[in-house]
Amino acid sequence: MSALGGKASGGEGINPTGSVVGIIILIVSIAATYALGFSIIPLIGIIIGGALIGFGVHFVPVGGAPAAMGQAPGIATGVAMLAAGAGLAGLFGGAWAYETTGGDFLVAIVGGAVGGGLMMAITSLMVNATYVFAMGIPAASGKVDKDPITGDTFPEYKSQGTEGHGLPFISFFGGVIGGLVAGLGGTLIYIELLNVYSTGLPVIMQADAAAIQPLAVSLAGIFAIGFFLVNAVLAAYNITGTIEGPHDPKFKRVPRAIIGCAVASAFCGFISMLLLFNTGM
Amino acid sequence: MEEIVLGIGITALAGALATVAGAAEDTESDIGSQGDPNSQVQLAPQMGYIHRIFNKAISGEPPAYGAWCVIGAGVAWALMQINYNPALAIILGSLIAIFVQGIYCTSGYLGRTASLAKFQQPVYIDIIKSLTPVTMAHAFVAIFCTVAMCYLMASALHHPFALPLLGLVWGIALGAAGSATGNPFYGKERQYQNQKFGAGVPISASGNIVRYAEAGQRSSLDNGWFTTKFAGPASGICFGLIVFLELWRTVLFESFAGGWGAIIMGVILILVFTFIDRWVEKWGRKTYGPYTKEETSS
Repeated sequence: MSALGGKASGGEGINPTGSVVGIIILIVSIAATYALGFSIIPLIGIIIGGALIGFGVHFVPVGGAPAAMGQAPGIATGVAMLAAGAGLAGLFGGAWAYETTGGDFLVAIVGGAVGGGLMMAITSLMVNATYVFAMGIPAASGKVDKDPITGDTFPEYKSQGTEGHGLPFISFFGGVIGGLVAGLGGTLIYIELLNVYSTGLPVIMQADAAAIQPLAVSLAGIFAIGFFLVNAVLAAYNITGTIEGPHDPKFKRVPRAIIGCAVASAFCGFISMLLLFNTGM
Repeated sequence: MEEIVLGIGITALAGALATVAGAAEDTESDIGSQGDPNSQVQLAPQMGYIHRIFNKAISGEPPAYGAWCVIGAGVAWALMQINYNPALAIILGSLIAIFVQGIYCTSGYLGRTASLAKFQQPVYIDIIKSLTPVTMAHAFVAIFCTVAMCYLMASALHHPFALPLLGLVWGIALGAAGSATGNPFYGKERQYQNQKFGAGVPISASGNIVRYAEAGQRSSLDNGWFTTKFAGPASGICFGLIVFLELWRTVLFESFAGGWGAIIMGVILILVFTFIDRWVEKWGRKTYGPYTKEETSS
């Protein structure tokens, strides 16, 4: 039992019944997409993107309210919101790169990943600068005694009555990796949706493709942000409160989040495709 | 060449706007007690500590600022579509956004404080009257700067996203950067000024926030005065760096190696920040030293 009221141990593992139901929903969503005459390749891209976002969120060290009092390590804000902030900064970069390179898929998704990673690197650095230079508190993890990367020891640097504080290097590293992965996933979803809308909207609206492009970009952007929040919130539920990064025992819960995010992304992806469904009206 | 020079100028201006936005956002959230430290403001009366601190955690800062910036950007965009001057449109958009923010502040304070009635926490009407306009003013600066920055990105740098979408993306990023950097300073250094400096707040002290000032009871305005000494500027630097470097690496290096130039520069920047972070961490450990001897704790 941790001092903050939650169990410090890892998760409860994968629920077989829930997972089977989820996988059925996933398959039905893909089958329904195919049955309505859409290509399933973009949907697969969306599912992978969603799973990447869920995976990435688990790397981000989030301490929530206890971190704001120096009672627990991590960044003092919510899991979903911080990951969304980083991922959306990545999405901004990825969408821009996709436009300027004339549709280079690889450059866009890697650009999105780097944008998310850069946002997290700057934010994590400023968090540590605040703890060290303004509050006089060195970084210490509450979950491990030694930093797996630098080998720094933590128990003697943990102030009395707290679970640790600040961002040890492993948490900084986790934050950057989380930003990279989440930015990559978000940009992947955006590009898949953009391709679908760019080709589908001119047909259904019987208009010139160039005239429809701003609408396609905006719709893909809004849906990508929506996917981001869906997956980030799902991952946050899996984390239940706070996580220190990849060294936290809660990180072992990640397979459950990947299944959940893939299922949610499949269903939401199907809904986003329905926008192009011609009912003949 | 001319386009690159213009791009660098726009990048610098956007970075400066972002810096001001970050500082104003954090100060607004500290005066209004919007972020995670508000858990203690809410908890204090339940532990028997009645206070006069504003209490309006409407939601996390990122979604709140996402909403306000998208309202500001959306209204500005709509006005520009009917040929309003962009500067006027952004000002009017930001004004409408802060009225929404003010409504949320008022209902947030009333609702949250009224829920503490059984712990004898009064609802102070003078707090609503005096502090809501202050948070609205700071929110105006934050929203105006963010929307103006987004306008530059859309019109001068030709980002494919429409202005309202940029407002949503950067509003959420603004809240994330501001709350991450500014919250510990407000939560630990200000609310728990009565605790030891250079150590985290012991969990047993939760709820025992500082409630008295040099004269009389502490007001949230005092919190804004205190946090502008570090948390506000630090949040501004954080958000300013994010915006500036994201634009800078794209504007200057996107044309190299078919777009890979911007990516390589981004990776180099991440590595630079990683080294600086490690230096800061080591400096903290060396300067402040351990709280206890290693052998006693292991």
